[in-house]
Amino acid sequence: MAAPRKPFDPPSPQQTAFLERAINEYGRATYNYALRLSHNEADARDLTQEAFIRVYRAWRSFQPGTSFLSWIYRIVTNLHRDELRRRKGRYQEEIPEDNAPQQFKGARPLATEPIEELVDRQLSEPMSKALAGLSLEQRQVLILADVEEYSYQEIADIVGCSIGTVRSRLHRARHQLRRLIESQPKPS
Amino acid sequence: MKSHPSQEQLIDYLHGELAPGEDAAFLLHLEGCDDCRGRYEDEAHLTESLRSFARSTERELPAGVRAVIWSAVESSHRELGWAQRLAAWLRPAVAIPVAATLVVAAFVGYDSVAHRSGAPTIDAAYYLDDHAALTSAVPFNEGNTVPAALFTTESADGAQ
Repeated sequence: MAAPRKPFDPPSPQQTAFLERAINEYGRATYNYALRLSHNEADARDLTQEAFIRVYRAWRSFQPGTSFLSWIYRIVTNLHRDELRRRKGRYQEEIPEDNAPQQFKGARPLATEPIEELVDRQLSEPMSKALAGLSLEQRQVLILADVEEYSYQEIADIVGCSIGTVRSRLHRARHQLRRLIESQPKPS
Repeated sequence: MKSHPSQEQLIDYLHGELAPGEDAAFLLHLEGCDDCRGRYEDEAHLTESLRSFARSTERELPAGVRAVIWSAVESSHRELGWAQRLAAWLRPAVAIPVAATLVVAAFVGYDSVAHRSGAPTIDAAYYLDDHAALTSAVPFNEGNTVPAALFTTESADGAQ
């Protein structure tokens, strides 16, 4: 295995090529994973950007033969968790007690671009609403197990917990998801 | 498998997480139990709903994201000038002698301060007694304070 790269080494063509290839092959998947975790377009962009910048800095620590996607998903998961902790400390008082979606008073906000319209439309879907109602830990495990089709061991490595924790979170997440879907009014 | 599997076992089976023997027994049970097959299909349907939702909401990587990544990478290299100088200062060949000099300087400084504050002193009363003895008009007057050693020496001389 190659020695870890010093943080201030000048860039090499290999490093640049590594980033180029990583973005081309895994940029889309990483962005969609970040979007599913955060349920927010702007956050997904930030998470994807920061994750690839970290990949670029630590490119020597990637071991050939291992899954690049698992590696970058782990980075995105940690970044998202850290960001939520930071925001929780900053905006704790602004979170409504019932955790219900906030109603805009007065004029509609300026977010009327097509992408925001798309997000709004998706959030109106029962599955999207139900996913948004899960805890972050439950959502992480559910997406990784059922959408990305990772094994419990791989999820444990990405999320940073034991297999037993993955199993119990997944069971609870599925139970909760079903309950949230069923509790929504059926379209007439 | 004699008894019906739990919901947790169903989910583990669906994700291929049962041990090989357990997995085979589970499959055998499903083939002969309509109730459990119905429960399994419910769980499989939930997974399929999740996947189809994920597929329908799949997006392309926005072009702006790629541009921001490359911009951040380039700006990090522009900062290399001062960063490399700092890194040079932190190299062992420079850092060790600097650290050793600082340690010696700190030790010497502390030592001199410690000796200054804790230096032995002579009681001022000694000088007063000494002065009184030397300036006394009647050296051996009982009222005078004379050092004991001096008195003993004088007595010994007188006896001779």
